[in-house]
Amino acid sequence: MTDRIFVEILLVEDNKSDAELTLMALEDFHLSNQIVWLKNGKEALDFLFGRGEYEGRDTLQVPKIILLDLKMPKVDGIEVLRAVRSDPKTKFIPVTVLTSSKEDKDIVETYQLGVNSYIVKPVDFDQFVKAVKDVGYYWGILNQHPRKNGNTDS
Amino acid sequence: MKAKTLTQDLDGEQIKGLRPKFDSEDVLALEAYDDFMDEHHHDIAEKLRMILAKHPVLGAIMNSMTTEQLDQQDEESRILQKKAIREQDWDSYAAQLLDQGVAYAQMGLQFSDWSYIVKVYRDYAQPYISAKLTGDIRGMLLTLAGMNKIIDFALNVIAESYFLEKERIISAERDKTREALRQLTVSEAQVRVLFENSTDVIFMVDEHGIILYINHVAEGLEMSEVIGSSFYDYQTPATRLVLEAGVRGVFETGKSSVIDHEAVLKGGNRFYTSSIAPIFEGDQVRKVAVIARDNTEQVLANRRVEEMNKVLEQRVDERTAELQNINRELESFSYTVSHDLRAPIRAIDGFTKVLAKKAKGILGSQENHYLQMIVENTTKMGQLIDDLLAFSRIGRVERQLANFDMAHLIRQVFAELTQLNEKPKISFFVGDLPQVPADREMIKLVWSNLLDNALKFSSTREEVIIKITAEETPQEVIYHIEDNGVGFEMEFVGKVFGVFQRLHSDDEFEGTGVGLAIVQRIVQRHQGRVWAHSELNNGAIFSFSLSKNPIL
Repeated sequence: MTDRIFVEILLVEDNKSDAELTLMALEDFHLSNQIVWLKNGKEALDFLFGRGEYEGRDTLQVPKIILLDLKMPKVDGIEVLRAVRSDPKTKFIPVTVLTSSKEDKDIVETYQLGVNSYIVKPVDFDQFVKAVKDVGYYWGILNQHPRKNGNTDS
Repeated sequence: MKAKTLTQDLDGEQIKGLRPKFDSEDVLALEAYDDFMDEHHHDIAEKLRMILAKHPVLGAIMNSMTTEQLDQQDEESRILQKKAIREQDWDSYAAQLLDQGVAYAQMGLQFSDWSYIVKVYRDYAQPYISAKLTGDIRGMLLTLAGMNKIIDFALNVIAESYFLEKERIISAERDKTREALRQLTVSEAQVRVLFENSTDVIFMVDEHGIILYINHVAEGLEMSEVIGSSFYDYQTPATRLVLEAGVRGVFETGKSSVIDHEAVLKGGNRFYTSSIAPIFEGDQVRKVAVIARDNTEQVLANRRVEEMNKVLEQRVDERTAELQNINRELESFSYTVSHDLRAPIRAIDGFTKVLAKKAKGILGSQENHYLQMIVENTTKMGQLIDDLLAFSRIGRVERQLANFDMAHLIRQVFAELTQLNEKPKISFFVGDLPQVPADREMIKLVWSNLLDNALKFSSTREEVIIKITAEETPQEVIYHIEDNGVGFEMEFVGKVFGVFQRLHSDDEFEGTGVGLAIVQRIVQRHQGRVWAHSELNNGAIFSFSLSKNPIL
């Protein structure tokens, strides 16, 4: 069950192919047991705040990185980002937007909400793999999260 | 004193009627007077002249004559007087006296002035005669009696003609006045004809707007009810206020004014343009004249035109809104389509590559070639979608107009492009480029596409030459970019700016055919034009204009 797993990467992506390709790109890190793929924004919020299907999950267990698609049914990526940034338990989680949208409006809005990085999914698979790997490596392995230093969480 | 002769108008019988009847005693007295005058005439005449010269009216008459004329007149008078006394020729003397009376009347002398002469004569002559004849009492009395007789005669005759002439003058003046009055009456009648038959409504109102007089009244109204009623009561509330203020202004300033107003009448409302003019009594405006011209038909016609214009404007607005809506929908559609198309292409590309990797060693070269073709086509498809996205974005993004250094921008774009592409030797020339207010980011995209094209189609040359120049007109600045590339035939010039229109195959030069369409769209959004000139294998010149005063 997910609540027992120490989640490193939370992938929020409604497109099955994109999700599969992303997971494939991250294979090299051998983190497959610590990657959770959620299919839309509602699932993501339920997971992060221990609601609905994820009722009772230890919400103190936060992922090292959220890879967030923007255009999703029900609850979109912007709403997820807003909710994450406005809750003290989740507001320090690094969020990388991984989207097809190059729209200025989307970029500006996500940055205003405090996104950590914004990546436009390249159409070319090789570039796509490289981008996902870079993000996974940087945020999932290289970056020091406040939690690791024991400075946060009361 | 040359008078208009009354004697000519009087017949001989009338003059004969003036002959005096003297007895022998009278004749003796007259002859004594005549004897005395033979000696003293000049003295007396000269003295009299001096006294009369002080009289306001007589003095003025005498001053208008020379001394000779006065002497001559006295002489003539004396001769006629003598002839009357000595030869009994009273008719000639009477005729002369009659002329004198006419002259006095014509000169505007009053009878009192004339009797003044007699008085002066008597007052002077009597003591003069008495003094000269002190030793001869009988002679003195005779002479004085003779003087009185001749004066009485002269007075009577002169009075006769004086009053006749006075009467004639008055009667002539009365006739003249009557004629003038008659003419006045005629012209007033003429004015009345004009007034009553005018198609304009002409009336007079007092300071309270009460109608005092009106030439004709509208249908359904009686002259008797209109006169005495208020002009303002026939107006719509809105125009009533305007008229009241206007009329008050005419009363206050004494200057006429023109006012448009709408009257409420039994046959329906009518529109008038009224000229309001002051009528002065002394320096005070007592009434105003209003000349109201009915222009209802014109006003209604104008209103119809206005309404039609409004309807037209509304239709244009609706149509514009509709078009904007369609445009927005189209853009949103093209955005969504392009956007959603990327995901499956990424999937095809991705899974093909994974497949190629996983199936390495299993598949033959032919099969690998097919996989390669799939990848190449998805790449191409991705490029097309990216360009299409860029193209559709231009229509949606708002322009931010500002002045900026055009040459600097171009050099920046050129540096970015040549950094990525290994090109043969490039001669790059940028002339003086005037500034215009434009969206910097959009114009950057214009230069990026034009420079990219120039570099691409000249890439086969040993030395690439690119020249950027500008010219200025009062309204706009025109930019030119010239290359020495392969160019194109002018018969295809109409196609170069179309979306997905290409003049070369991918084997020759790569591209999606969106770049120049983007250029055209950006320039058009700046109210500019874009055009091209080329010759096959002889380079191309692309030009575009930007307005100096773009509409926001």
